Amino acid sequence: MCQHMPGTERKALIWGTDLYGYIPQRPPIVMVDSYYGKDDVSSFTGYTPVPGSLFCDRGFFLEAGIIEHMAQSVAVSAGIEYKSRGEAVPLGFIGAVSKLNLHFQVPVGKKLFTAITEAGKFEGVSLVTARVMCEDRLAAEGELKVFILGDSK
Amino acid sequence: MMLQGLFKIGTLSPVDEFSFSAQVDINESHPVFGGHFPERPILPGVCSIHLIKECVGMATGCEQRYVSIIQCKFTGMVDPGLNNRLTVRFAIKQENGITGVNGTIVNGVNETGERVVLKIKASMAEVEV
Repeated sequence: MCQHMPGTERKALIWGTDLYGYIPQRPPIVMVDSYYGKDDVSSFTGYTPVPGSLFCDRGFFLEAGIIEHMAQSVAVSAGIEYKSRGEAVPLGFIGAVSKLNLHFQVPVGKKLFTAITEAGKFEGVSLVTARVMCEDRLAAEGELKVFILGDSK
Repeated sequence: MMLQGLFKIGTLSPVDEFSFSAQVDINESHPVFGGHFPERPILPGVCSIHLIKECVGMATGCEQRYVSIIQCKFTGMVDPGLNNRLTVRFAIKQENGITGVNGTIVNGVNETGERVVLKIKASMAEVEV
């Protein structure tokens, strides 16, 4: 299921500032505004770039913003997992981006719907495939390696 | 654009016909560091990706956008409080309206510990205005 990613019909489970409880980033670099849950293979998030935000430039959401949105989509799931174990939300860093294709420029104000599929997981490292849809068109897809740095206090 | 003011790109120097180098200063009081991360300011990797594009835009004389990133590796964190100097080096190859880019970003100043923090191989296209 979820191959078609029917974004508009999905209901967010966590959204807006409630997501701050699960990610280490804070404004102005919060690039995820909805968490839609997960199925057996993927987790689903969303973001609508708003005018004046960090990665918006003359009506378009920049590529850097799309990649950051992908990374924070990974961070949300990691945050939920850590919190469910009673641990603090970990910091996350992008280790690598590869095979990333950006198919068109995303206009500001359009809703993005993203599927993150885990391809591999090691201690503190998450390898994922990210697919970002914009109004039922594939806007971007690629692979990310994200380092998750849990609190080792 | 709010990203403006994060980087101050100094002179872009041609190394040869297809290679360039630029000195860049990071503005460590830019608001992005308040959110990435609170109490631990680290330059977001995607901002480094954006910086490469800005520099390629200067070198080619037209604004660029990424169409693909074949590979980009982050090999070190940049804490602007420790060292806010970056050196961007890249080579370009233009063909059929696509600019192939091979670049690196180095943080630090020579003998005090210069290290590569990003390596990228990507393709860009001119932004239609």
